[in-house]
Amino acid sequence: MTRIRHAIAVILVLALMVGCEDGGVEAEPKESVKVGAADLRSTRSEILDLIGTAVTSASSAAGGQKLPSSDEIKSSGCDAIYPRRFRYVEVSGGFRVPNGDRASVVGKIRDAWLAEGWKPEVGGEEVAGEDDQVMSTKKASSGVPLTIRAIVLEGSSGQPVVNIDIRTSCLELSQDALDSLDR
Amino acid sequence: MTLIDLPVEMPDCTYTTAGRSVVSGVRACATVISDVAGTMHANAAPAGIEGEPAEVAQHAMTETAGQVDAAAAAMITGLTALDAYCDRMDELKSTWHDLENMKGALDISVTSLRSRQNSSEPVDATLDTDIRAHNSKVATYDTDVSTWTSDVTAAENRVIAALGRADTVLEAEGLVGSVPDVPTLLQELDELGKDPFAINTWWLALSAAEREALKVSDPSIIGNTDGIPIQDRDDANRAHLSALLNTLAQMKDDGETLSEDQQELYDQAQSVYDGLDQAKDEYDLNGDPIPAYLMLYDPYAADGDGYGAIAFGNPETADHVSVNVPGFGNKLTGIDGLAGSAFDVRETAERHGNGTVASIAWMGYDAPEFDSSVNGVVDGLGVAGEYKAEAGARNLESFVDGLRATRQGEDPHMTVIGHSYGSTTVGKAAGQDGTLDVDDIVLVGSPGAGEENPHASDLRGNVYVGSAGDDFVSRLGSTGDVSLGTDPASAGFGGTRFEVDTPGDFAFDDWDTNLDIHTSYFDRDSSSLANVGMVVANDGGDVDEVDHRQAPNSVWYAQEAAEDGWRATEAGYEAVEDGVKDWFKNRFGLG
Repeated sequence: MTRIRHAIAVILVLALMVGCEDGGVEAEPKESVKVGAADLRSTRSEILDLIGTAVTSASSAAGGQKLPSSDEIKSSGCDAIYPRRFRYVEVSGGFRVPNGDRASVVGKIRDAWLAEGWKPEVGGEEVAGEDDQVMSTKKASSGVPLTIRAIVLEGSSGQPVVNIDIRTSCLELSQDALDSLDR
Repeated sequence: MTLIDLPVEMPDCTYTTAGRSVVSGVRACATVISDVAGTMHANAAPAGIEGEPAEVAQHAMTETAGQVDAAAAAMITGLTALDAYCDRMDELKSTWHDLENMKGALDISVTSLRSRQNSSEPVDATLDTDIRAHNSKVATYDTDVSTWTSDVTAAENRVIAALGRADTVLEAEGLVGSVPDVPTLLQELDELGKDPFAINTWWLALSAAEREALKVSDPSIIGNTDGIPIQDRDDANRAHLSALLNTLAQMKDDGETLSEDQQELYDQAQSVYDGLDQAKDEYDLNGDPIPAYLMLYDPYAADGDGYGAIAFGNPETADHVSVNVPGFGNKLTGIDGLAGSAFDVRETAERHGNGTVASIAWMGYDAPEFDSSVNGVVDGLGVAGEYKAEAGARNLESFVDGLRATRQGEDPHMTVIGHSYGSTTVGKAAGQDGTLDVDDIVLVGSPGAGEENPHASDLRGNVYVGSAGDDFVSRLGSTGDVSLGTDPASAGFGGTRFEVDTPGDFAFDDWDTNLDIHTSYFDRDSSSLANVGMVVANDGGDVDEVDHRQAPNSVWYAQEAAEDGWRATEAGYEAVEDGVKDWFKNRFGLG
């Protein structure tokens, strides 16, 4: 029985190795969207506009003060195990609410995003019974799926702090698209 | 009636973290100059030499080296002053925020008191007392604002004066003799061995100029030595990173084709920057930007796979600190992905509101990997053995000791998270043969915590386990003598097993899905990440527990093989290289 177990384990490991070979069949995410340089450029531009809308509408509705933003795109690998061309592209922004509580801020963000014509869902509940997240999905004109997410932190000085991110799904970038992300 | 005093308006505070960026850029430049000076001195001839053209050329190099020394001395002097200025301004910026909050409160108080004064209600008995109390606070606030303004002016005057001492060639040449003796300092550091507490004490006793000189001349040593404070490590590593990337980018811009090794260095540097960027425009629960620190950067380690570590939040001051240890297939070119996971762990933990959190993506050991070269195969076979985990465990112990040595104040609540083969590394560090001592340990997608640790109680810390039912790597654990240890999800091991999502079903001929399952433990909005966040936030008692595995993993394999049929099972074996087959035949007696 032990030898049978070992034999099966060996086959599993071998098969895994095939999946990870750099020079042969390399590991790839199960789902990704192929994107070239032009589509990446338009998607970047779109999500920068979108973060402006997401932060401004949410902040205005909640009576918040915007926190400084670089208005710059960031990107990261879909997982450390996958080749560099598989990446998320993301942008962030945030605001602080001087006079508010987390529950009401969550509700106001949801309402603001509803007014934008999005379909926000409230959730999270990292602290039991207390929603702290508003999330919506959208598609860029390039067809890239986007997730818009606000997380409302219970600020240490009683002033909720909101982080908003817009992130693409896992992209498979062409070489020129990948090069365009270099600094 | 007592008059209501109004607080003075807040002065502007234009200082931003961009100040640090300037210092960082200057330091990278100084590092390059220091390298140039080193090369020139190594090739220079003794002073006063005459004779053959080659010797004369060397003599010229000696003279130029002297000029480069002057430039380096001027930059070190300037950097020391700028660094001190940034430290002071960070403090003053914090004070400014406090004053801003105070101003807001006093403004509200003014409005409230005026409303009471103008009220048509009967006499307000406590109004006068409240106004006097308010006025006293205004007086204190006004004094604090005035002090703050003076402090800013003093800090600016100091840095301007210091820079003024090094802004001519003559002055710079005069500074050469006052530059700290770096070789002697490095000798002192070397004699301390690897004791992070002794190193921390030694470092703190150095002058600011000595620290700056070390960071500029030997960033790869200072940046990667456990026990040196995180800000100094970050300074040194960023200088190293920036100097290296600038050099490679310049080569590309000049039309040179990078060699394979150079391209690897270039990709690594891009990935490190991408990793650091994860914190960009993100804020903590105080509304402050989340800092990112490059705690480790050694692109030449592990035969060029590279080591790196990125911290989000400050582990020297945070209430909770976590370290993510990755598994097979990880190298520095992928640290941005690992950093993304660590960032999400930090964010998830912080949402619990139990205090501040710092999370570290630690890629500080030679994780097993796979590629089609002979060396790559040999390297990759390490996944079936424990030797890389053992070596990695020693590095991890040293790294965590370094975190403790540099703590400001009480020890934090500390969690170490091992994924895949990284969980074996964690097990070996926290187990019977290691010295790692942390509060909580999380093992996800684990093939085993090391054969010498068959029970959770063999590890120092509370042990939490996340294993997706169809994660084939987590099914490699067994009590056999060729495994990486007992399956941590099994009842016999005895860890607290928590709920995770399983995004798909295992299939012998669908390795994309199989890998997807194995790499999904840190997916945003996953049950797994939520439970990991709970442990990191010291809410481990609240994880969503699930039952342990009861049947041996061999039964699971057999069931999966029966479901898929022999053709699919055989496909995995037939596709691998002959050399790998031979190795396994020898090791397991197969064939």
